[in-house]
Amino acid sequence: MSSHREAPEISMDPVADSTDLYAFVSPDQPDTVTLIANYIPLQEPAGGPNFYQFGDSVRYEIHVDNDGDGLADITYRFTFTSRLRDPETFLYNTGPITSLNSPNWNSRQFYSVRRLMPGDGTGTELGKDLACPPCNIGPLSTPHYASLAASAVHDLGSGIKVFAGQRAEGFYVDLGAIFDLGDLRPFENLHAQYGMHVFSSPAPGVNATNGLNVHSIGLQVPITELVQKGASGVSDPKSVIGVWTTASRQSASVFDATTGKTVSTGPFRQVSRLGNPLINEVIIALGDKDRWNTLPPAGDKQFAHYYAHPGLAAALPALYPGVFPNLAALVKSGKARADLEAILLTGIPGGIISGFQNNTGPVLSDMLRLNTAIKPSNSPNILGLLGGDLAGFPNGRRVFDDIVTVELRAVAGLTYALVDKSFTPDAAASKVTDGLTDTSVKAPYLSTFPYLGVPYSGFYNPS
Amino acid sequence: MAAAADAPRAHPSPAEPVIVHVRDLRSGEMDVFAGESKTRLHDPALAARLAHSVR
Repeated sequence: MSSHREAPEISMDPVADSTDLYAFVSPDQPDTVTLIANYIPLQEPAGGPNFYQFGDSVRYEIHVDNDGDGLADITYRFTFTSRLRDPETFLYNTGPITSLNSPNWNSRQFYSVRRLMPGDGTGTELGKDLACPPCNIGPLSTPHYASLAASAVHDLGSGIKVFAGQRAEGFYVDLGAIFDLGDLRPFENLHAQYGMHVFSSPAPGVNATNGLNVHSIGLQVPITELVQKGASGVSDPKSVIGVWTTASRQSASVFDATTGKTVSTGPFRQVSRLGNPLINEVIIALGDKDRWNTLPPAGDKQFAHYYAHPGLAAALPALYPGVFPNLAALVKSGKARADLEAILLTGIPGGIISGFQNNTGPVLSDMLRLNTAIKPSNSPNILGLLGGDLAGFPNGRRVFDDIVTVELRAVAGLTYALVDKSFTPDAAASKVTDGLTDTSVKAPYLSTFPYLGVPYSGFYNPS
Repeated sequence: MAAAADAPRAHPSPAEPVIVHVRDLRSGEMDVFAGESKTRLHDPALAARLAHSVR
């Protein structure tokens, strides 16, 4: 998945597990950027009576680098607090929840937001005691869910909006096939199948995340708050920001059997990280995934060999014999994948794609890079830059972008021709996909903040 | 005894948990966690007393 359960250690700590990160110029507020970090993967909507919540003991952060060093210049920190109205009942709610302060809502969660910048100590509190919405339970418990959740979009002043709570999973991927030894259903008849002859014809993709929810932390911020002063125009390096999210926990914990609670203390240490999608999932090797999660992007030079020689690029020709001959030759040559290094570790310099750059300089750092001077597209293409849409991935990432297909095609060699004109991508490199699009997601995306769809209710899902 | 603090801080309040991780009993290397701080100590005698207190 994009980053769901992507590393051994974090797969055992779902509330701290970042799943997806989005950064884009807001289509309906183009003087702002929307940043969304998703956590708590694969939520089965009926998962009560203790429905999903952020971790009170987890420090969630969204970081922005605006000078290209792979270190945070601005950090937005989110801290959550759960409260029970009535500890004597076993119920999440004792009647319909029709407002954020409903007396029927027993198990609530609130949060604070701080903005931290280097040298400003504990930073600035942007908001506190902000209410999360409840989870979407069903027609009796949460009868007007869409409007109820919309009331949990908080205006913090100075053009900043925030939302933290459950949303429909917007990331679509055919997990069941991909994790079955790299099967892509639309091409599975071409798969080597280990001689078992299981598939004889192509099949449509299956969206494994359909009907599941996540928890989103969304922030809409004026562009001028994120970029360096004086940023002007697409070609100006100051227009580019790098974004990543982290979750941290205190270093020491013990389970106190007398209270039945875990006690934590000590300095916070990073346990989860996410910049570009699918990186710790697919690019970083199993033995390094946990360590990758503890580090800032500034140290990613040590992982550059994974980007330069991705295992997936070597696997594709083996899994699909005869389909990727030019990719096979490229892998055999041992040449570094300078295209992937540029897209994922430095940003794409000017002069390669007409009218575009999102380069942040020489520091190799895995960040979601967004050129904030690129206006939102009136007719978005889910393939982003590969589809000729400069406002989409890997120029940031929008909620509906098909990052699985984009990265599959890039790894398959489609983008290598950008850095080596003598290379001819295989015909399959521009066709390979897991067979899904944004229409594979049941819950419609929203046209306004927080853009991810209304979460699926436990009553109706599964149906 | 030698100490190296991860971050300077005041003494923990009585209500605050303090967790000690004895990393190496022989050298007495241990980490003391309190609040948002960690202090590394080297105190073989204290480490031995802590170990002996476990029944």
